[in-house]
Amino acid sequence: VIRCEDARRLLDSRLDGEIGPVEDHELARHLDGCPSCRDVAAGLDLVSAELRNLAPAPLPDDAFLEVIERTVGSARRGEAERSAFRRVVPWVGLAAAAGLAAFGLLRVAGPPPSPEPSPLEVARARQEARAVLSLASGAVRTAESTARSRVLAGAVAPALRHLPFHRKSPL
Amino acid sequence: MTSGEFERVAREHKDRVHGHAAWLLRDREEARDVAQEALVRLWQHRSDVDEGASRGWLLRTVHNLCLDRHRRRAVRGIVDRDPEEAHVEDPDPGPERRALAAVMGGAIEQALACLGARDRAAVLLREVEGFSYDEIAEILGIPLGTLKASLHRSRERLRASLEKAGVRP
Repeated sequence: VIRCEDARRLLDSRLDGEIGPVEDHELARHLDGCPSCRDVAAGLDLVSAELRNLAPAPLPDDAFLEVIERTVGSARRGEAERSAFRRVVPWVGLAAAAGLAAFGLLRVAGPPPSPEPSPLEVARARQEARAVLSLASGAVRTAESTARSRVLAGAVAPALRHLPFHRKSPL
Repeated sequence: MTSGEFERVAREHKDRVHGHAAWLLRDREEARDVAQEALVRLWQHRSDVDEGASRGWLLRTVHNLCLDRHRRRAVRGIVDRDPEEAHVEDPDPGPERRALAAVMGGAIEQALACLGARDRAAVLLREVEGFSYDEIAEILGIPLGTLKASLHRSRERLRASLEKAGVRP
């Protein structure tokens, strides 16, 4: 036969489902013969039942959404930014590479930089420029002459008559 | 733990985490802060925490965060004394605790409010959450023998409080 002190200890074990069959049987026998321990057992059962029926305290929805925003939302935003960056980076790289290549080509193929042209180079450049201007002038004169002869020969005038601004042309 | 798994776990345990914090702190705003902080910490440690172990991890984090707040309150001399008081027999809860208990609602709520923070946590983890002795001892960071003594003492005090309040089986 167990004492009241042991019975109280076993009541806890019984509440927690950690009592063996032999001890459970001994406890039951003790409770049958001990009104005081029986009251305690009923009181402890009541405590247990009351605790399990405690009103829940749900986390407010806005607080939970804030958590999701700070965690998953933030991570998703970061991932989206990284993804956009990854999409842009190859093009930026290509553009930079092309720019560098062009710059390199210019450096390699272009004329070496000279500080000041010599008087001889200046004279030669003037001569070349005069020759170019003379050729251009000759070309213009030839074009004028050809146009004039064609107009006078009547090759252009009939066609010009069909244009609005040449209807009253003496041609 | 992936983002999707975290979101599922957080949704599943958010009310439990908040409720536990509310019971330990008895302050709605602080409980909200602690619950959010615990969930954010789970996110930060998601690579170390298995989904199956997340409930215990969260409640342990809540418990530690609540103890920190209790200590800060004690330093500021606001409400509770040091949470280690859970080891001390406290037949008279004192005017502050009685005042807090008065606004807690039902008899069991008032009785709970009169327990020390760690005793209260132990009882709630056992009776409400259904954790085993070993799990509770790990969550609270106390030896098994200390936990059993704490549970025994708390149940006795809750029973006596209910009896005193006229709540009988």
